[in-house]
Amino acid sequence: MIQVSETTIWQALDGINDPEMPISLVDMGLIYDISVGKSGVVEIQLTFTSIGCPGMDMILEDIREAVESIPGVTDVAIEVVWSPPWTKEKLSDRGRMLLKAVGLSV
Amino acid sequence: MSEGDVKLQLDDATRLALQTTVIALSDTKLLLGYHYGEWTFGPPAIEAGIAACSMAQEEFGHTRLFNRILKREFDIEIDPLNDTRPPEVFASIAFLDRAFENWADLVAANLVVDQALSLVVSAFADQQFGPIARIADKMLLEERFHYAHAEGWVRLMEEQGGAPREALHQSLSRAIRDTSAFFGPPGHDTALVTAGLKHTDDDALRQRLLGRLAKLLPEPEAVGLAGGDQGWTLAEPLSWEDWDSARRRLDHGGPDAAILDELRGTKNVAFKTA
Repeated sequence: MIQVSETTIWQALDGINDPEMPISLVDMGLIYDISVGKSGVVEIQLTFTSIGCPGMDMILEDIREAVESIPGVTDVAIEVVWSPPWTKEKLSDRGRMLLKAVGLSV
Repeated sequence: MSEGDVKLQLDDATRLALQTTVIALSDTKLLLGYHYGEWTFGPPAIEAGIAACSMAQEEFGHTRLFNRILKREFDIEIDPLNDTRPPEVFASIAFLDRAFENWADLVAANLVVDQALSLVVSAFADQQFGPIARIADKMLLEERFHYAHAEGWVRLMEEQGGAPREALHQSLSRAIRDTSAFFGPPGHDTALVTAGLKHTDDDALRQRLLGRLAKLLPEPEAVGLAGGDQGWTLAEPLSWEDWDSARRRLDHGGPDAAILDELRGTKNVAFKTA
Protein backbone atom coordinates (compact mmCIF):
# COMPACT_ATOMS: atom_id res chain seq x y z
CA MET A 1 0.00 0.00 0.00
CA ILE A 2 1.31 3.45 -0.90
CA GLN A 3 2.01 5.65 2.12
CA VAL A 4 0.85 9.22 1.62
CA SER A 5 2.73 12.01 3.34
CA GLU A 6 1.21 15.15 4.75
CA THR A 7 3.62 17.14 2.57
CA THR A 8 2.02 15.62 -0.51
CA ILE A 9 -1.40 16.76 0.66
CA TRP A 10 -0.14 20.28 1.45
CA GLN A 11 1.36 20.42 -2.05
CA ALA A 12 -1.90 19.29 -3.61
CA LEU A 13 -3.86 21.97 -1.77
CA ASP A 14 -1.25 24.54 -2.73
CA GLY A 15 -2.32 23.86 -6.30
CA ILE A 16 -5.90 24.96 -5.66
CA ASN A 17 -6.57 28.66 -5.97
CA ASP A 18 -9.11 30.55 -3.91
CA PRO A 19 -12.02 31.29 -6.30
CA GLU A 20 -11.91 35.01 -5.50
CA MET A 21 -8.20 35.62 -4.96
CA PRO A 22 -5.27 34.79 -7.25
CA ILE A 23 -3.49 32.73 -4.60
CA SER A 24 -3.78 29.20 -3.27
CA LEU A 25 -5.88 28.02 -0.37
CA VAL A 26 -2.63 27.36 1.49
CA ASP A 27 -1.34 30.90 0.92
CA MET A 28 -4.72 32.24 1.98
CA GLY A 29 -4.15 30.51 5.30
CA LEU A 30 -7.43 28.63 5.07
CA ILE A 31 -5.94 25.20 5.77
CA TYR A 32 -5.51 24.75 9.52
CA ASP A 33 -4.42 21.13 9.79
CA ILE A 34 -3.77 18.01 7.74
CA SER A 35 -3.23 14.51 9.01
CA VAL A 36 -2.93 11.20 7.19
CA GLY A 37 -3.91 7.94 8.83
CA LYS A 38 -2.11 4.64 8.20
CA SER A 39 -5.07 3.40 6.19
CA GLY A 40 -4.78 6.36 3.81
CA VAL A 41 -7.60 8.41 5.25
CA VAL A 42 -6.78 12.11 4.97
CA GLU A 43 -8.25 14.50 7.52
CA ILE A 44 -8.27 18.17 6.65
CA GLN A 45 -9.32 20.99 8.91
CA LEU A 46 -9.99 24.28 7.20
CA THR A 47 -11.84 27.53 7.53
CA PHE A 48 -13.23 30.18 5.21
CA THR A 49 -12.80 33.93 5.08
CA SER A 50 -16.50 34.48 5.70
CA ILE A 51 -19.31 32.33 7.12
CA GLY A 52 -21.42 33.35 4.14
CA CYS A 53 -18.70 32.50 1.63
CA PRO A 54 -20.54 31.59 -1.59
CA GLY A 55 -17.55 29.58 -2.82
CA MET A 56 -17.65 27.14 0.07
CA ASP A 57 -19.07 24.15 -1.79
CA MET A 58 -16.83 24.78 -4.78
CA ILE A 59 -13.70 24.88 -2.62
CA LEU A 60 -14.67 21.73 -0.74
CA GLU A 61 -15.31 19.95 -4.01
CA ASP A 62 -11.96 21.11 -5.43
CA ILE A 63 -10.16 19.82 -2.34
CA ARG A 64 -11.93 16.49 -2.39
CA GLU A 65 -11.20 16.01 -6.07
CA ALA A 66 -7.52 16.95 -5.75
CA VAL A 67 -6.83 14.83 -2.68
CA GLU A 68 -8.81 11.78 -3.77
CA SER A 69 -6.76 11.61 -6.95
CA ILE A 70 -3.52 11.13 -4.99
CA PRO A 71 -2.39 7.48 -5.07
CA GLY A 72 -2.73 5.89 -1.63
CA VAL A 73 -5.55 8.14 -0.43
CA THR A 74 -8.53 5.99 0.54
CA ASP A 75 -10.85 8.67 1.90
CA VAL A 76 -10.99 12.38 2.66
CA ALA A 77 -12.62 13.80 5.79
CA ILE A 78 -12.97 17.56 5.74
CA GLU A 79 -13.92 19.50 8.83
CA VAL A 80 -14.88 23.17 8.51
CA VAL A 81 -13.98 25.11 11.65
CA TRP A 82 -14.57 28.74 12.61
CA SER A 83 -12.24 28.98 15.54
CA PRO A 84 -9.76 30.55 15.45
CA PRO A 85 -11.46 32.88 12.98
CA TRP A 86 -9.69 33.68 9.74
CA THR A 87 -8.18 37.14 9.51
CA LYS A 88 -5.71 38.52 6.98
CA GLU A 89 -2.96 37.73 9.49
CA LYS A 90 -3.35 34.13 8.33
CA LEU A 91 -2.01 34.98 4.84
CA SER A 92 1.39 33.51 4.08
CA ASP A 93 4.26 35.86 3.22
CA ARG A 94 4.08 34.64 -0.36
CA GLY A 95 0.31 35.18 -0.46
CA ARG A 96 0.68 38.68 0.94
CA MET A 97 3.28 39.50 -1.68
CA LEU A 98 1.14 38.16 -4.52
CA LEU A 99 -1.93 40.05 -3.37
CA LYS A 100 0.06 43.27 -3.09
CA ALA A 101 1.31 42.67 -6.60
CA VAL A 102 -2.27 42.74 -7.92
CA GLY A 103 -3.00 45.93 -6.03
CA LEU A 104 -4.73 44.62 -2.93
CA SER A 105 -4.02 46.23 0.40
CA VAL A 106 -3.13 43.50 2.90
CA MET B 1 -19.66 20.48 16.68
CA SER B 2 -16.93 18.25 15.51
CA GLU B 3 -18.15 14.85 14.41
CA GLY B 4 -16.64 13.09 17.40
CA ASP B 5 -18.42 15.20 19.99
CA VAL B 6 -20.96 13.64 22.27
CA LYS B 7 -24.29 15.43 22.43
CA LEU B 8 -24.84 17.27 25.69
CA GLN B 9 -26.99 15.47 28.20
CA LEU B 10 -29.72 17.95 29.05
CA ASP B 11 -33.11 17.65 30.67
CA ASP B 12 -36.10 18.13 28.38
CA ALA B 13 -36.87 21.69 29.48
CA THR B 14 -33.29 22.89 29.02
CA ARG B 15 -33.01 21.14 25.70
CA LEU B 16 -36.22 22.76 24.49
CA ALA B 17 -35.03 26.20 25.63
CA LEU B 18 -31.78 25.69 23.72
CA GLN B 19 -33.58 24.48 20.61
CA THR B 20 -35.97 27.44 20.73
CA THR B 21 -33.06 29.84 20.97
CA VAL B 22 -31.30 28.33 17.96
CA ILE B 23 -34.48 28.41 15.87
CA ALA B 24 -35.08 32.04 16.82
CA LEU B 25 -31.51 32.95 15.84
CA SER B 26 -31.85 31.12 12.54
CA ASP B 27 -35.26 32.54 11.64
CA THR B 28 -34.38 36.09 12.61
CA LYS B 29 -31.10 36.05 10.73
CA LEU B 30 -32.89 34.71 7.67
CA LEU B 31 -35.39 37.57 7.73
CA LEU B 32 -32.68 40.10 8.52
CA GLY B 33 -30.68 38.82 5.56
CA TYR B 34 -33.75 39.19 3.37
CA HIS B 35 -34.20 42.85 4.31
CA TYR B 36 -30.50 43.63 3.90
CA GLY B 37 -30.64 42.00 0.48
CA GLU B 38 -33.72 43.99 -0.50
CA TRP B 39 -31.85 47.20 0.26
CA THR B 40 -28.94 46.44 -2.01
CA PHE B 41 -30.83 48.80 -4.31
CA GLY B 42 -32.51 51.99 -3.20
CA PRO B 43 -30.40 53.10 -0.24
CA PRO B 44 -29.27 56.73 0.10
CA ALA B 45 -25.71 55.93 -1.01
CA ILE B 46 -24.22 53.33 -3.35
CA GLU B 47 -21.78 52.29 -0.63
CA ALA B 48 -24.72 51.62 1.68
CA GLY B 49 -26.20 49.26 -0.90
CA ILE B 50 -22.91 47.40 -1.14
CA ALA B 51 -22.76 47.15 2.63
CA ALA B 52 -26.35 45.89 2.80
CA CYS B 53 -25.60 43.25 0.17
CA SER B 54 -22.52 42.14 2.06
CA MET B 55 -24.41 41.96 5.35
CA ALA B 56 -27.14 39.90 3.65
CA GLN B 57 -24.55 37.37 2.54
CA GLU B 58 -23.23 37.07 6.08
CA GLU B 59 -26.66 36.72 7.67
CA PHE B 60 -27.58 33.96 5.24
CA GLY B 61 -24.30 32.26 6.06
CA HIS B 62 -25.07 32.48 9.78
CA THR B 63 -28.54 31.06 9.18
CA ARG B 64 -27.01 28.14 7.34
CA LEU B 65 -24.76 27.39 10.33
CA PHE B 66 -27.64 27.53 12.79
CA ASN B 67 -29.67 25.23 10.54
CA ARG B 68 -26.82 22.72 10.58
CA ILE B 69 -26.80 22.86 14.37
CA LEU B 70 -30.56 22.26 14.42
CA LYS B 71 -30.18 19.23 12.20
CA ARG B 72 -27.24 17.71 14.03
CA GLU B 73 -28.29 18.47 17.59
CA PHE B 74 -32.07 18.42 17.45
CA ASP B 75 -32.94 16.45 14.30
CA ILE B 76 -34.80 19.48 12.99
CA GLU B 77 -34.39 20.18 9.31
CA ILE B 78 -34.96 23.73 8.14
CA ASP B 79 -34.07 24.33 4.55
CA PRO B 80 -35.11 27.90 3.67
CA LEU B 81 -35.88 26.96 0.06
CA ASN B 82 -38.06 23.99 0.95
CA ASP B 83 -39.52 25.35 4.17
CA THR B 84 -43.29 24.94 4.37
CA ARG B 85 -43.80 26.40 7.84
CA PRO B 86 -46.63 28.96 7.96
CA PRO B 87 -45.77 32.54 8.99
CA GLU B 88 -47.39 32.00 12.40
CA VAL B 89 -44.70 29.47 13.29
CA PHE B 90 -41.65 31.64 12.57
CA ALA B 91 -39.59 32.64 15.58
CA SER B 92 -38.29 35.84 14.03
CA ILE B 93 -38.40 39.28 15.60
CA ALA B 94 -41.66 41.00 14.64
CA PHE B 95 -39.94 44.14 13.37
CA LEU B 96 -38.87 42.11 10.35
CA ASP B 97 -42.38 40.89 9.47
CA ARG B 98 -43.09 43.45 6.79
CA ALA B 99 -41.22 45.18 3.97
CA PHE B 100 -39.25 48.13 5.27
CA GLU B 101 -40.84 51.48 4.47
CA ASN B 102 -37.62 53.43 4.30
CA TRP B 103 -33.91 53.49 5.05
CA ALA B 104 -34.61 54.33 8.68
CA ASP B 105 -36.19 50.88 9.12
CA LEU B 106 -33.07 49.27 7.70
CA VAL B 107 -30.81 51.25 10.04
CA ALA B 108 -33.00 50.39 13.03
CA ALA B 109 -32.87 46.68 12.22
CA ASN B 110 -29.12 46.97 11.69
CA LEU B 111 -28.58 48.70 15.02
CA VAL B 112 -31.11 46.95 17.25
CA VAL B 113 -32.06 43.55 15.84
CA ASP B 114 -28.61 42.65 14.58
CA GLN B 115 -26.97 43.72 17.82
CA ALA B 116 -29.50 41.78 19.91
CA LEU B 117 -28.69 38.56 18.05
CA SER B 118 -24.98 39.17 18.55
CA LEU B 119 -25.52 39.63 22.26
CA VAL B 120 -27.28 36.27 22.46
CA VAL B 121 -24.52 34.57 20.47
CA SER B 122 -21.89 36.20 22.67
CA ALA B 123 -23.56 34.71 25.75
CA PHE B 124 -22.79 31.23 24.35
CA ALA B 125 -19.11 32.01 23.69
CA ASP B 126 -16.70 29.96 25.81
CA GLN B 127 -19.60 27.98 27.27
CA GLN B 128 -20.51 24.30 27.19
CA PHE B 129 -22.65 24.24 24.06
CA GLY B 130 -19.83 23.67 21.60
CA PRO B 131 -21.77 24.10 18.35
CA ILE B 132 -22.40 27.78 19.09
CA ALA B 133 -19.32 28.37 21.24
CA ARG B 134 -17.09 27.35 18.33
CA ILE B 135 -18.68 29.67 15.79
CA ALA B 136 -19.19 32.62 18.11
CA ASP B 137 -15.80 34.29 17.61
CA LYS B 138 -16.03 34.31 13.83
CA MET B 139 -19.67 35.34 13.79
CA LEU B 140 -19.08 38.20 16.20
CA LEU B 141 -16.05 39.31 14.22
CA GLU B 142 -18.29 39.67 11.15
CA GLU B 143 -20.98 41.36 13.18
CA ARG B 144 -18.56 44.07 14.34
CA PHE B 145 -18.74 45.53 10.84
CA HIS B 146 -22.53 45.40 10.89
CA TYR B 147 -22.53 47.43 14.08
CA ALA B 148 -20.03 49.93 12.69
CA HIS B 149 -22.33 50.43 9.69
CA ALA B 150 -25.38 50.97 11.88
CA GLU B 151 -23.58 53.28 14.26
CA GLY B 152 -22.32 55.44 11.39
CA TRP B 153 -25.79 55.87 9.93
CA VAL B 154 -27.39 56.60 13.29
CA ARG B 155 -24.86 59.34 14.01
CA LEU B 156 -25.38 60.78 10.53
CA MET B 157 -29.18 60.77 10.72
CA GLU B 158 -29.12 62.29 14.18
CA GLU B 159 -26.88 65.03 12.86
CA GLN B 160 -29.14 65.59 9.84
CA GLY B 161 -32.04 66.32 12.19
CA GLY B 162 -35.53 67.04 10.87
CA ALA B 163 -37.32 64.33 8.90
CA PRO B 164 -34.41 61.81 8.82
CA ARG B 165 -34.02 62.02 12.58
CA GLU B 166 -37.77 61.75 13.13
CA ALA B 167 -38.02 58.70 10.85
CA LEU B 168 -35.07 57.10 12.61
CA HIS B 169 -36.67 57.59 16.01
CA GLN B 170 -39.95 56.08 14.85
CA SER B 171 -38.19 53.04 13.41
CA LEU B 172 -35.96 52.63 16.45
CA SER B 173 -38.94 52.84 18.81
CA ARG B 174 -40.65 49.93 17.05
CA ALA B 175 -37.47 47.92 16.67
CA ILE B 176 -36.60 48.36 20.35
CA ARG B 177 -40.00 47.16 21.57
CA ASP B 178 -40.11 44.14 19.27
CA THR B 179 -36.54 43.24 20.11
CA SER B 180 -37.15 43.65 23.84
CA ALA B 181 -39.93 41.10 23.45
CA PHE B 182 -37.46 38.72 21.80
CA PHE B 183 -35.42 38.68 25.04
CA GLY B 184 -38.51 37.45 26.89
CA PRO B 185 -39.71 37.85 30.46
CA PRO B 186 -37.04 37.92 33.17
CA GLY B 187 -36.00 34.42 34.19
CA HIS B 188 -37.34 32.60 31.13
CA ASP B 189 -33.88 31.26 30.26
CA THR B 190 -32.54 30.56 33.74
CA ALA B 191 -32.17 26.87 32.84
CA LEU B 192 -29.66 27.68 30.10
CA VAL B 193 -27.51 29.73 32.44
CA THR B 194 -27.72 27.17 35.26
CA ALA B 195 -26.71 24.40 32.86
CA GLY B 196 -23.61 26.38 31.86
CA LEU B 197 -24.72 26.89 28.29
CA LYS B 198 -24.94 30.68 28.51
CA HIS B 199 -23.00 32.99 30.77
CA THR B 200 -25.60 35.77 30.83
CA ASP B 201 -29.37 35.56 30.86
CA ASP B 202 -31.59 37.33 28.36
CA ASP B 203 -32.86 39.91 30.82
CA ALA B 204 -29.30 41.10 31.44
CA LEU B 205 -28.62 41.03 27.70
CA ARG B 206 -31.68 43.20 27.07
CA GLN B 207 -30.50 45.68 29.70
CA ARG B 208 -27.08 45.69 28.07
CA LEU B 209 -28.62 46.41 24.67
CA LEU B 210 -30.80 49.22 25.96
CA GLY B 211 -27.83 50.69 27.82
CA ARG B 212 -25.72 50.67 24.67
CA LEU B 213 -28.50 52.30 22.66
CA ALA B 214 -28.97 54.98 25.30
CA LYS B 215 -25.25 55.68 25.21
CA LEU B 216 -25.25 56.09 21.43
CA LEU B 217 -28.42 58.13 21.07
CA PRO B 218 -28.37 61.81 22.05
CA GLU B 219 -31.96 61.59 23.28
CA PRO B 220 -32.82 58.04 24.43
CA GLU B 221 -36.24 59.16 25.63
CA ALA B 222 -37.20 59.94 22.01
CA VAL B 223 -37.10 56.20 21.17
CA GLY B 224 -39.12 55.07 24.17
CA LEU B 225 -36.35 54.50 26.69
CA ALA B 226 -36.38 55.64 30.30
CA GLY B 227 -33.71 55.59 32.94
CA GLY B 228 -30.28 57.01 33.50
CA ASP B 229 -27.08 56.10 35.26
CA GLN B 230 -28.74 53.17 37.03
CA GLY B 231 -29.73 51.55 33.76
CA TRP B 232 -32.25 51.90 30.97
CA THR B 233 -35.61 50.23 30.41
CA LEU B 234 -38.63 50.73 28.19
CA ALA B 235 -40.63 53.79 29.23
CA GLU B 236 -43.75 51.70 28.65
CA PRO B 237 -42.99 48.22 30.02
CA LEU B 238 -44.06 45.17 28.06
CA SER B 239 -46.80 42.93 29.35
CA TRP B 240 -45.71 39.31 29.20
CA GLU B 241 -49.10 37.55 29.47
CA ASP B 242 -49.25 36.89 25.72
CA TRP B 243 -45.59 36.03 25.25
CA ASP B 244 -45.13 33.00 23.04
CA SER B 245 -42.11 31.22 24.49
CA ALA B 246 -41.67 28.99 21.44
CA ARG B 247 -41.43 31.98 19.12
CA ARG B 248 -40.06 34.51 21.60
CA ARG B 249 -42.65 37.03 20.47
CA LEU B 250 -45.57 39.03 21.81
CA ASP B 251 -46.97 39.68 18.33
CA HIS B 252 -48.72 36.48 17.27
CA GLY B 253 -48.57 37.25 13.55
CA GLY B 254 -45.58 36.39 11.39
CA PRO B 255 -43.60 37.44 8.34
CA ASP B 256 -45.60 38.55 5.31
CA ALA B 257 -46.42 35.65 3.02
CA ALA B 258 -44.93 37.62 0.12
CA ILE B 259 -41.59 37.84 1.92
CA LEU B 260 -41.58 34.10 2.61
CA ASP B 261 -42.47 33.45 -1.03
CA GLU B 262 -39.46 35.47 -2.14
CA LEU B 263 -37.17 33.75 0.34
CA ARG B 264 -38.35 30.35 -0.81
CA GLY B 265 -38.24 31.14 -4.50
CA THR B 266 -41.88 30.13 -4.83
CA LYS B 267 -42.15 31.60 -8.32
CA ASN B 268 -39.08 29.70 -9.42
CA VAL B 269 -39.84 26.22 -8.19
CA ALA B 270 -39.54 24.91 -11.75
CA PHE B 271 -35.91 26.04 -11.89
CA LYS B 272 -34.78 24.50 -8.61
CA THR B 273 -31.67 22.40 -8.87
CA ALA B 274 -32.25 20.23 -5.79
